[in-house]
Amino acid sequence: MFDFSHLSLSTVMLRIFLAVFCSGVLGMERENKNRPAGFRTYLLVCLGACITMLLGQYEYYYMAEEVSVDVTRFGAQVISGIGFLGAGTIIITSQQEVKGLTTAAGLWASCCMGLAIGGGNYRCALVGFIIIIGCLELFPNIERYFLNHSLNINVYLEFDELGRIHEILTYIKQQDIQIWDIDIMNAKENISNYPAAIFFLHLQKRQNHEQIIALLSDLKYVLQIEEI
Amino acid sequence: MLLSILDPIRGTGIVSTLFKLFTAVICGGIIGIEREFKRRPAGFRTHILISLGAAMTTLTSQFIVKDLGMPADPGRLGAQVIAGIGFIGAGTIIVSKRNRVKGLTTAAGLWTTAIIGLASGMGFYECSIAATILILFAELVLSKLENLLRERHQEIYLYIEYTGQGYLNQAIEYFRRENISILDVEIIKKKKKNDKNNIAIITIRLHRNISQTNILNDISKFPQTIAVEIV
Repeated sequence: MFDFSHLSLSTVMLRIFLAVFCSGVLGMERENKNRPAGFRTYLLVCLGACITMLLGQYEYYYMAEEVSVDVTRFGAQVISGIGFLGAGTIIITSQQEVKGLTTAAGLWASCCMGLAIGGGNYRCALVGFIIIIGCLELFPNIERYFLNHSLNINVYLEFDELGRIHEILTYIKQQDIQIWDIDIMNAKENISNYPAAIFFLHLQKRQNHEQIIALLSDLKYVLQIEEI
Repeated sequence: MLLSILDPIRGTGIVSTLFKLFTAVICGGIIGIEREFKRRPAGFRTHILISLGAAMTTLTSQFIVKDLGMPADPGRLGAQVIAGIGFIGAGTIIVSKRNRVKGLTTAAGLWTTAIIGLASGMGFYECSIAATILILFAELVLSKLENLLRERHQEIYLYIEYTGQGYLNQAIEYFRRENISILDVEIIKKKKKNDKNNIAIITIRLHRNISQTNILNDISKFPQTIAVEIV
């Protein structure tokens, strides 16, 4: 019968195919959402991880008698290597917002899946694959629910002149909102050439975040407002 | 030594695999939800993906050693997770324009979640569950305690608008006279013509003999002060 747990031509083909298939499905989903890491990125990363793992095993079959071999040594470096790659997809916007973290984590998790496939641990890879798909497909809704019910809200405000901060502060305090911190940028530091500030607010009671944004946009001198 | 009831699910079979990966997902998810709720950049999904990936690595090396019988160091794959997630965490750290560091707790939390994932992947359930509970405890209870301690040694941000030069010297002189320690001074100068005033954000630590209102009164008496506010 077929034995796919030890190296043979059919095993190698099966593993490479599995790696391409699983990462392809994940990548398609990301591609549809227009994320920076798409179909080919996922495919290449996962395939590479799978091949390094195969390489370690190949090394064992051909050299184990002469030298002591650790089949996971190659694969291990993939993990920190993709950590680097993932860190590169993280963006800190001019509004001090961290973006691309889920992309980095997803890419990294799919590289771990590729290692599991290359190592022949199909059941682990399969369960992992299903969870990653679920995580990327279904969980955004859960995440949105928690975000909208959060008592903390960070707001980026752009206004006409620096002196307005005082008025904004008093206005926010009147609304019974606690201010945890502010980060102020003057006109020169901000790319839009207007002074801006990020307010880290803490609501006293559960309130719709859109309401707060609407409240703040009532101020005439506020040019831009965004929840981050 | 450890709970022997868990021994059947410490292996690499399909049931063990399911238990291990789900433990990783649940632990990561719980930590992630708390972060999400506080509106930190790394949320629910990021934590789950990282702890799941970490669990897959240790599970795979255990599989290679135990099931395939190949020579391997069972800790080697997992060891790289520790370095790899360090990099991803580093990406979340922001140094703001005023050289303040943010996102360090997020990075540290992400890293710890990866370690919890490693433990789950090896079937060390006791450790991952205990660690998750402790992290939740630290985030929910100890952060309140931190706030309490802060209230006793109250640190406040003073937002001051002023015109002209030499004002800050005056202010610093005043704080020194009142025995108030200054923790941080941030000065934002006008950079456009229609910005009339300069702004300073001064972080001070109060002591018992002086109240916030006293400070506000005293500072607003300075002739060059335009506005003063406690953030």
